[in-house]
Amino acid sequence: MPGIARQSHIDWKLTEEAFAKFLACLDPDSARAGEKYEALREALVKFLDWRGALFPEELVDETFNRVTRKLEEGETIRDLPTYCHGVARLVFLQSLEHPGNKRVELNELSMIAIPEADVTDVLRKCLNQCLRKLPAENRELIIEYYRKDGRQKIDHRVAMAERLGIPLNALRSRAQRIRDTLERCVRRRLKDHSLRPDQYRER
Amino acid sequence: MQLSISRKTRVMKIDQSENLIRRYLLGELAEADQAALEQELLINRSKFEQVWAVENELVDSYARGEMSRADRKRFERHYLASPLHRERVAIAESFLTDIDQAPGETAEVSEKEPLVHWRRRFPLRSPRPVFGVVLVIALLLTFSLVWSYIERVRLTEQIANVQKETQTERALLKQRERDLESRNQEAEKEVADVSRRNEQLKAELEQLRRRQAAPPTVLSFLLTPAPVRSEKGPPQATIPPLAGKARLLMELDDINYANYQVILQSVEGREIFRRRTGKLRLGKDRQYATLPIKAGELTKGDYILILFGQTADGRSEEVDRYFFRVS
Repeated sequence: MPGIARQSHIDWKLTEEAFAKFLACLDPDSARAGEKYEALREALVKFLDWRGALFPEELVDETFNRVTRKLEEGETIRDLPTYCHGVARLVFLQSLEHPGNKRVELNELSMIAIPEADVTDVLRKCLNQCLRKLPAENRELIIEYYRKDGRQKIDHRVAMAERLGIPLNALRSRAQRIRDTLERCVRRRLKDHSLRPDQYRER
Repeated sequence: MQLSISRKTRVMKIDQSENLIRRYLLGELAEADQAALEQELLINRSKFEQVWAVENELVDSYARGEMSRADRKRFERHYLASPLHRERVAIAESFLTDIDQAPGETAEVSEKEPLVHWRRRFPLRSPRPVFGVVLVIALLLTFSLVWSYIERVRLTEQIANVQKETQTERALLKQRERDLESRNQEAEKEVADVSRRNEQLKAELEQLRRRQAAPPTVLSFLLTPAPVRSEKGPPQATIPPLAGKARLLMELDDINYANYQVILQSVEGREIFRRRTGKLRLGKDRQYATLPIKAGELTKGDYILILFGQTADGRSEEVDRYFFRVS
């Protein structure tokens, strides 16, 4: 769910009513609308992530704000996910105009030779904390899922899926979401330490 | 055999699909193709999951050092250009390192060095001081960039203004030149006119001078002596009122006096003036006494003019009398 009353770039505030209208446009059934909204949001966040956006979630929030405002103004939108996708692309392209959002290639980054032990330790500490924070079955699943390399890995995953009684795709999806949760947790914790795990700073 | 071909075709399709996804993730698709693929992913949830899985495989492959050199370069050039992706790879590297080192156990913090190439190539840094320094540098750079931009805009505006002013001044100068040329032509024309008028005036002046230089016209009236009472003489002379100078001529006989004098009287005998006269010779043997008369000196009326001759011993002798009328 996007931040309610989050201020968009055009001084418009998202209200509960406006968001309810947005959901209703996705599906008349509120439960299904919620699921569709989550799926749409996840997809858009990943699209912008894959395109290299620095803050994909914020851009998607902005996208939903704009679309919701359009709906509140009385605009009729037939295919809401496609419309949102178009707006998200636009918002992303607009974000690239900001100098802070420019992509910087790896070979353009400068490094300063400082001992990395502290950073590595902090990162591993955060990762460990986040792994422990996961429910036990999820922790075991993700560790198991990503354990093996190469051809072994595929066989291992097939065996896992059979053991759990779920299709391989479902297992993959579950592992990806746990991994995503883990990654978010590590990021949050690193942020508390004022750290960025990549340790690259732009020149 | 047929089953084998069908399987091969499916495998090829999967390969093609995965190749497209890899190209998408490595930023090698055109915007339109990216948008089209994303549209498909919005509808096809399974494919969306597949893309996500391919991304994780790429990240893991890179983190584990399993990627080919060419793929690694492509991955670093595009995928690692995003700070978010660099974070993801770093977390994955740490995670995979731990679980690869502790198979079958719950991951714990390990002191083993990471395997990732870019980590090895670019050593890690102590974050906080570096972050501060980098932040300051970034701020300075941003400030200098903004300042440069503002300065550039300002200079561009200045140049544009100067050019505009120059153009305006040029236009004004050209206008002034045209005005001056026009005025010059007018002045030349005026000079020519004045010169022509001057010539005319000179010519007129010359004419006037010539006229003034010419002797003024003087009307001469010949008076005849009054007849003796018994004689029947010529009719009395009549003179029109004089607008200019005139002279009265009186013919002299053979008696030649040294000087002559006239007395002009009204017909009632009132003397009007007394004057000496001149003598004028016309031809070989005709002489006349002349009396100049000014304009307006004689009003309308009848007059008697008495001509006296002065003898050598100083005596005056009446020579003749003349009657004339001014009317």
